[in-house]
Amino acid sequence: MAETNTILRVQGLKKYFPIQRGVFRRTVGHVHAVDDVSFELTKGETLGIVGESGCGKTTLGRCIPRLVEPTDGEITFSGDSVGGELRVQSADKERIADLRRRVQMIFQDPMASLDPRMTIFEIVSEPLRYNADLTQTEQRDRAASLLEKTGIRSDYMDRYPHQFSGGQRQRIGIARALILEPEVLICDEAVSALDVSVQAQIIKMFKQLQEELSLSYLFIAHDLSVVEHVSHRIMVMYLGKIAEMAESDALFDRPRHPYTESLLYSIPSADPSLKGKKRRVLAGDVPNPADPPSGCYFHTRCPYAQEICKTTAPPLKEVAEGHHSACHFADTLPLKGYQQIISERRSEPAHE
Amino acid sequence: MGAALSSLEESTTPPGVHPHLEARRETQWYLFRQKFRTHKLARVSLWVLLFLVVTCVLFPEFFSPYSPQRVFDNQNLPPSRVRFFDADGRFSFVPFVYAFTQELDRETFQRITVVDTEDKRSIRIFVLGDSYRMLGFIPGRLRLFGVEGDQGVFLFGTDKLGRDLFSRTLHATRISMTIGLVGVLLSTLLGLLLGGVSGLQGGWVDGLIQRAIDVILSIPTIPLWMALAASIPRNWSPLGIYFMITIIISLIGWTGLARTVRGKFLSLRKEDFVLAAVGFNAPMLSIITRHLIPNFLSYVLVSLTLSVPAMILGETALSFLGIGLQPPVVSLGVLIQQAQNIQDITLYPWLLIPGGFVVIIVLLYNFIGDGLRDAADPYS
Amino acid sequence: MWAYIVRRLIYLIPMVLLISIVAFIVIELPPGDIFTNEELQLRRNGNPNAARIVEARREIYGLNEPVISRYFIWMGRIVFDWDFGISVLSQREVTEILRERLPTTLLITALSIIFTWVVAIPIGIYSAVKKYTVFDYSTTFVAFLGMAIPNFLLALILMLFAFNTLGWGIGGLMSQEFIGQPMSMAKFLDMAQHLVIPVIVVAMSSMAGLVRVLRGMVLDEMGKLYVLTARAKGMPERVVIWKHILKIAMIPVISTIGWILPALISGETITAIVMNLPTIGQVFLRSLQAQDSYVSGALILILSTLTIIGSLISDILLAVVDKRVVYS
Repeated sequence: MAETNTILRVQGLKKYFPIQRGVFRRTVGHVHAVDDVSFELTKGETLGIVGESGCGKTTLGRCIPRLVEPTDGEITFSGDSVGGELRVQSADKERIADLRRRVQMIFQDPMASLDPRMTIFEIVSEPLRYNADLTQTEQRDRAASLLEKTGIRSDYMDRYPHQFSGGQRQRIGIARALILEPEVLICDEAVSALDVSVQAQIIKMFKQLQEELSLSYLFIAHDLSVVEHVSHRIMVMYLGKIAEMAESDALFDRPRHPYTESLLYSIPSADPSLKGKKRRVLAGDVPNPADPPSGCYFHTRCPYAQEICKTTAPPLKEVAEGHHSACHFADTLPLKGYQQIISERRSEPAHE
Repeated sequence: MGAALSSLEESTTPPGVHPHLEARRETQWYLFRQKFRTHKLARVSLWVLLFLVVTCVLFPEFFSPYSPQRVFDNQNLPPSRVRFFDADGRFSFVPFVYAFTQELDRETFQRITVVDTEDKRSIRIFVLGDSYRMLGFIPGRLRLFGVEGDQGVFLFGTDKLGRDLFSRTLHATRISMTIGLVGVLLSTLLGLLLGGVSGLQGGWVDGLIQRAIDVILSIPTIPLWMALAASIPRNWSPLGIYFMITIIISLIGWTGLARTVRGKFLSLRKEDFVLAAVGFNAPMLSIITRHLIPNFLSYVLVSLTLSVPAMILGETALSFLGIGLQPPVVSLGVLIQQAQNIQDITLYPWLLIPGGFVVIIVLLYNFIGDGLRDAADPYS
Repeated sequence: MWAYIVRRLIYLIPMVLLISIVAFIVIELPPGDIFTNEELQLRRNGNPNAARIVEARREIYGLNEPVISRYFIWMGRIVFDWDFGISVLSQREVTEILRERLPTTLLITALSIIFTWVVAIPIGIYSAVKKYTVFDYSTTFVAFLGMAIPNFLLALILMLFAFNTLGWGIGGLMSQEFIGQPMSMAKFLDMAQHLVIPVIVVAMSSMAGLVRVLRGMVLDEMGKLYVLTARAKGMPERVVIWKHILKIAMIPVISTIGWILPALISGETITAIVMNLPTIGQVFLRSLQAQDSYVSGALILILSTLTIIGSLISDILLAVVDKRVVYS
């Protein structure tokens, strides 16, 4: 693995939640939150993970540092700091602890991710308590330098979270995530709760940090346009399975899954010339994850669905170089890329 | 790069204030105290409570004119009337009482008190009275006030054995208040422990503890206390009985706190900052002590304060029924017990004054607890 | 919905069992048994056969069996024969005592609940609507006071007042002349008069609590948007209150039966002792002091079961009113 430069490999990850019904709370079924997901993350790369609510992306993110215990699957980490590979499969406490030092997470809600009763310094330096052996001064120095790096003045270190704005709190969370010098950061909707202007700043900071510290990111979001700027590759999820996975540009230019296409359609655009033009909107709602449709999960809302889609679940296949799709007709469907969609809408008559 | 980014940073200091000024440490406790201050009733109550603690719990010997066991010749005396104006209407700076005699009324066959307006007895400050051991070991005789002459001054009257009710009430308040505190501490510990385990472990442990709480709550409190209290062997030492009563009362009291703690734990468990702590290998114990507990400490304080009244009322009820504390350990409940029937209360209504003390103490704790609750929730 | 009810009913059984165990433990705690006092008496009278006489009695009642067997014998008799044992103090069957005293207890408890609602609901709502007025402050004050006064103290004070000022006969369920007489209007009125104070005393602290809870809930609701909307639509205030707010405010009222019941029964026990009412209170105290275990055990069991049934009813009522509860 050292030659290929893969830093994180996830294989066959599954997470099923039991459903309990009836008088005696029997387990009548399972919600397949994450259903057999496999991918690789290269060093220095950002993999964006997109999908609607309930598609399993957050659960997937939490499974990797084992904040949630997966039902099945294997996670292999091979960074610089580890001799060979770090394969985490069973509940091996030491391995998990090791993994967590290298894979850190940033959460969505800046309010909830910081303990309101601790000072900024305490919050940011807390990971050092359990994973390193530094003196108080050393801790303060480290915390100070990371805070500066993420744009918080270090003389604010003894203040409390409620004295900061949302964007600043998110920066503090990032500083905390970085203090153990991890190699992979999982950003779980890290900018979704912020104002758009602040989002842009934070994303810019992410990219700078990536360059400076050679980080690899798993960037989870529900907004494709946000993901596009940050990611090298994008993975689209639907009801726990991967629908499509490709390089950013390739995904936007020529998607190979109807779901991706509809996501592209739904990206709002600030172009005034598109005002009043129709937008094609996906019909129906996301099906109940406890009772997914047969065959291809997407067939109930897919404009191109055929008989086979109702009966057979399509496997994830490589349809072009580095471009995977789970659709029976991935090669043949004339799916439109983003630019195409925009220009089509421009030329359409205005909607009355 | 850091410098470039910090120029984008939004500031929380108001415009006009130099951003380099040292920020006040706005700890959660500081905010908490601020909010508490706005609740006037609670603040006043706190001071009154402190006053009671000083006069009745710490130094009742000093503030009461006589030893609570001292027997006078005059039983069932109504409260002495302390006067500033004498029979002729003259004002005197020094308050005084008239000497009195007790006579038998020929018609009603009741004892009535007749004052002698010629014989004024002044109230003195800082007199030497019955000896005592303050706080159990400091010997002394100095008392706040007393009266000259051979008769006593009885601010609350005397009981049927001729003992000064005022002195007895002060000392009894000490017992009643401390039982409340000790009991509350016990039940708080129990509640924290069991509620915490319940909320954190979940699973069958949680279910078990919840069932136990349900069972305890289903049994009417007073009958249960009565049954437990009645099973204390009568020949135990008064102190032993005191402790048993405390334990019994706190055995029921922990349920409320346990439920609150459990609820808080359940909700806090899912908070992102807890998850983050797991994510950097914080051991469970650290998460509990450093993250969870400080976040609901204020609720524990509120619950603590609000359970004291229940404890005090419980002990008072048991002692009133005669199955609680026994003399010589005298609480307010024991005092009220001497006023059990209608005849006594009609003739000697001042015997109910200790009851008034109970009410006041309970009210104080309720007000303070109310203030604390407002201050704790919602947190800012 | 039915699943919820069935589930709650099924929970009832283990709960009652657990309570019976607790009741049994509590009874067994004091050293000795129901014949201990009798033995003491016999000895004091100089009876040389004291031990043998009592032993024979113990054999008959199975009191020499190990603890566990005693429990099952006791419960068995109750469940299958409806036999709660005997009272050595009054030489009667416990069942008879229960039959005699339980109805009055239930009567007073029921009256207290009704009184609580009738008084607390309007006051609670009104003090919220007219918040910060004299009415509000005074009711809040009285409410606090009501929760602070021990009920036996309140009973004493009210009795004092009624006796001296109003000239009422107090103590007991009815005046001397009506005891043993058939029911008549005069007797009915007399009983009603005697019941006034007990009901007030028993209901007081729950009433006070309910007033505060209601006030809080109504205040919360009044701040909500849908009330604002209704007002903006021109709905008269009275209708707003009665139609919308009442529905929400009813929730704590109904759910409070759950915790009010043990409080009421608890309070009733003491009040009855002070006011000499022919309910369970006095019997309970005497049985505890004399170690008349069958009586105490039966009483604890019955009282707790009543409480559980009460809270079951309140839970079901609550589920009917507020469907959200069913799915939690």
